[in-house]
Amino acid sequence: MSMNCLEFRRAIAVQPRQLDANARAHREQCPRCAEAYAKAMSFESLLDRSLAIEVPATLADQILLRQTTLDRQHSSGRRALVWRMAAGVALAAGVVGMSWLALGPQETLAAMSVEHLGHEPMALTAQGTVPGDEVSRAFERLGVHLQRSPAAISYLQICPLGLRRAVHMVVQSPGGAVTVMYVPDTETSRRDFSERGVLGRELQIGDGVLVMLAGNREAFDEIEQGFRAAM
Amino acid sequence: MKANPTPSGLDAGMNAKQTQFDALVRATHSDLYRFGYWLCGNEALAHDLVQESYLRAWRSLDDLRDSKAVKAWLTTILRREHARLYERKAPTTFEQVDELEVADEDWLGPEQGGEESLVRRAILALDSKYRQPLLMQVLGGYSCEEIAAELKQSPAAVMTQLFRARQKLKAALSGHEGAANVHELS
Repeated sequence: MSMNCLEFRRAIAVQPRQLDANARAHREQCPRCAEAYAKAMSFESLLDRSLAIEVPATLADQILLRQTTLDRQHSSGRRALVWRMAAGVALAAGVVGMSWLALGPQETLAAMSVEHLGHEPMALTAQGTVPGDEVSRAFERLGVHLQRSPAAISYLQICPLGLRRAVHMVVQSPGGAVTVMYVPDTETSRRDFSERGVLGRELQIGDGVLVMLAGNREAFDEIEQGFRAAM
Repeated sequence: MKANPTPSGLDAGMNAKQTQFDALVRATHSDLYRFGYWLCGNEALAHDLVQESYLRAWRSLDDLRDSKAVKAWLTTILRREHARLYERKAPTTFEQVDELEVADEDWLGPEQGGEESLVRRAILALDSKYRQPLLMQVLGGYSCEEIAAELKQSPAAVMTQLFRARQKLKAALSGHEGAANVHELS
């Protein structure tokens, strides 16, 4: 659709830097509008020069210094909190462990997984997302091939679990952190359980067992589906 | 004791995030500072605005999915930060025209001071409703439609504001404030 002079002048008065194809075509055909466009662009150039005030030379360094300083302070505070939590968990685990031994330990995967929580309490506070290829590599090292990343995982380690090795993960869900252990080359029957105040579920996926532990079971179904789809 | 743990995946992730943020700050801080300055008209406030905006950007860096949208993303953060700052410090900035004019003189070297000086003063004298869309268009590279979406206005209203903003600046430049409403085609 062709553009007339009035429309062209309106266009360059509002968006002189973003002329559409119609406006460009009109400019090519109309010398007076081409002249008006040149004047408009001259004004835009003046506008650019006027707005280009000097930027403080050290501004970027100041921004980064403040960000890294605050981040370190935040990390230190978080580490201190984690250590306090770890101390609390270790104490509780010690007390519970003594009772456990007195009652006779049941060396189930569920029990070992719950016990393992006390060894790595910082896992639950991990933030961010572990890249999917790292998750796949961890499973590969235990001889398990993943088709895709099973969930948004914020913590990942390969850990001993009794005489076996397991992929220890934490998935951050809306209902809170869920600890997930995958133990290859073992079998179990599906069951929901409660161990020392921790709610859990264990089930067979592939040639291994998936154990989920949390304060509630809200996210278990979704996480289970994610792992089933990934394997 | 751990048997053969995965090589520090979280640390690597944090390092990658910091590297990304360093690059982002170095690539964008000049534009963002200028946007902040022209928004508030005060060097110290602009400095604070930019610092706070980057801190917010760092905290939500994981939300940034498209690196091409980084400028618009930062501009939005800064505009919101400015709105918060302006709410807290309300009328101590824009209305102090005399202070702004003193600051304006500081920018000018002996070879400057002509048209650019006039335009700068005119920009600072623009009402916020004209200045903000103009800055978004010229410094931020936004289209009319994008400005309209960001400011929650109609594209037609934004086009009118952009038209009037330029007319006011041109009028100031020609020394005829009353010419602000004269149509270019006349």
